Amino acid sequence: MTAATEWEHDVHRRLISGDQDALGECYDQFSSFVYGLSQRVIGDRRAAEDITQDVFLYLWERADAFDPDRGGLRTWLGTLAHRRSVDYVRREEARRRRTERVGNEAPTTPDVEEMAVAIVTAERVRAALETLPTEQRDAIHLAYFGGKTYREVAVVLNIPEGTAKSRMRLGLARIASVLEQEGVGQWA
Amino acid sequence: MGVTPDDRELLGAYALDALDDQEVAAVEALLERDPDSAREVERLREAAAWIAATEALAPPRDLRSQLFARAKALSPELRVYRQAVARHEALLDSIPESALDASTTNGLSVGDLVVHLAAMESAVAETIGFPQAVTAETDVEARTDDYLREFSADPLGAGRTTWCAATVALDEWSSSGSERASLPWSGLAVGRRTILATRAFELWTHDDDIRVALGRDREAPTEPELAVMSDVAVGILPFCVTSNGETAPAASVRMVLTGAGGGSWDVSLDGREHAGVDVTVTMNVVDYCRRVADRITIDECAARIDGDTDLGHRILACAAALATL
Repeated sequence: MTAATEWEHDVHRRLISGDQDALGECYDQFSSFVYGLSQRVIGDRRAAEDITQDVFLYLWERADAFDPDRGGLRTWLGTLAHRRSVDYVRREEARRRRTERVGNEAPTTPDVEEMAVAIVTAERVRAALETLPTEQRDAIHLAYFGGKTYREVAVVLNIPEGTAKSRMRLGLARIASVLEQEGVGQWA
Repeated sequence: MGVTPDDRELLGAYALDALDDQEVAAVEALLERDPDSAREVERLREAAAWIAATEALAPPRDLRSQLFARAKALSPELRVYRQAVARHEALLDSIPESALDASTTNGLSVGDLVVHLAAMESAVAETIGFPQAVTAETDVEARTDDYLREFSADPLGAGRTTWCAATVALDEWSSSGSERASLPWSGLAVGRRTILATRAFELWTHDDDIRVALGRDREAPTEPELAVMSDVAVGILPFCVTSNGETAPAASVRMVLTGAGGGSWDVSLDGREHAGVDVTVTMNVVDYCRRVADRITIDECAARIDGDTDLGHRILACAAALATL
């Protein structure tokens, strides 16, 4: 688990005290991440925009729910955005109405330093994903980006449910190890 | 209860939100009792978040301004109310069934207090059209008794459901109504700002009651919460000093509340202008809020009183009148 940075501790304090500039900093830093994740899971631009707004509004209203001593803001926002996106998909069965994903928009982050870090890190994560056994990568992709439960993943991949669970856990643990070995967490 | 490798087998799927509701509840119970599992989930979630980072995509430019328009439209009082509501929900999630009979400070059990809050929140909500489900009673104790009878089979579940529905109604009214909207409460026309602040105040107070009953530490509100709550709690002092039928003293008090979220207020107790202040009461803002909630005694306040000492003590004695409203 990566400790939150000094900036995250500072922005957390300022959000709690009602400083809207702190909200702007968080948005500039992480909106591409949140929007990209929601868009990838839901496949619907309007819904991804709504969820992105809701996630940052939740941060604004409930900054106290984020505990920087327990982890970084990226993980917290990512967990929030992913859960809401998956809820949306399952509730609305949006997968049936999924529009074709727009693929020509470059990954971006607003802050120059964060942009550099995020791009480098994203490359390392892509590389780490490539090193995963295909069966683990497929299980993670189907669950994380496809919004499927491990049972549904088991059906899709035609494997026992226990195997689906194991692949998800082992695959994530392996990515975590790779990132830790490369010191990615220190930048998170 | 021990933790087996099988118990931890779901952690990866949990980090990926790939479980059903029952499994989520089982894993969250595991995380409560097993720090190693909790650490593993944090680690796996972080890995998942970095996987998401590979999909970063710039949102439409106007999304930022839309977000700020929504954030700005959120009044400090509604923000504080939503925080209090969310914190109460989190607390309800953490109350074990076995603790429902534990006694709280005000004599009610934990389960009773959950129902009491449902009775109070719904009472406020009913004044804006929330359907009356249990009783027309408005007296606090009688209304709570009616609710306790109605919800005796499932105080936590039924109490929570009603309370949640009432908070949603109140939130919607607060979000859409005029800034100057008011509700009839305790014979007064109470403004939206005051209603939200006092609801947040009561939730915080009873949350602390529940925490103490469960053997947990009390929690201080955040700075913005204290700023809103203390402002309202000082503003109602003139009402408090006459709530027992006494005549308002022809005097002015300066309340100096120290600490983050505090401030300084000059309050005329009789509504008239006064040349200067007759007494200055200086104390910690959290202590003042706890005094207003009648959760600490005057002696425990550690207040400094300069000027008319008797008046200062009377103010501190009367400040707890809010707790009876």
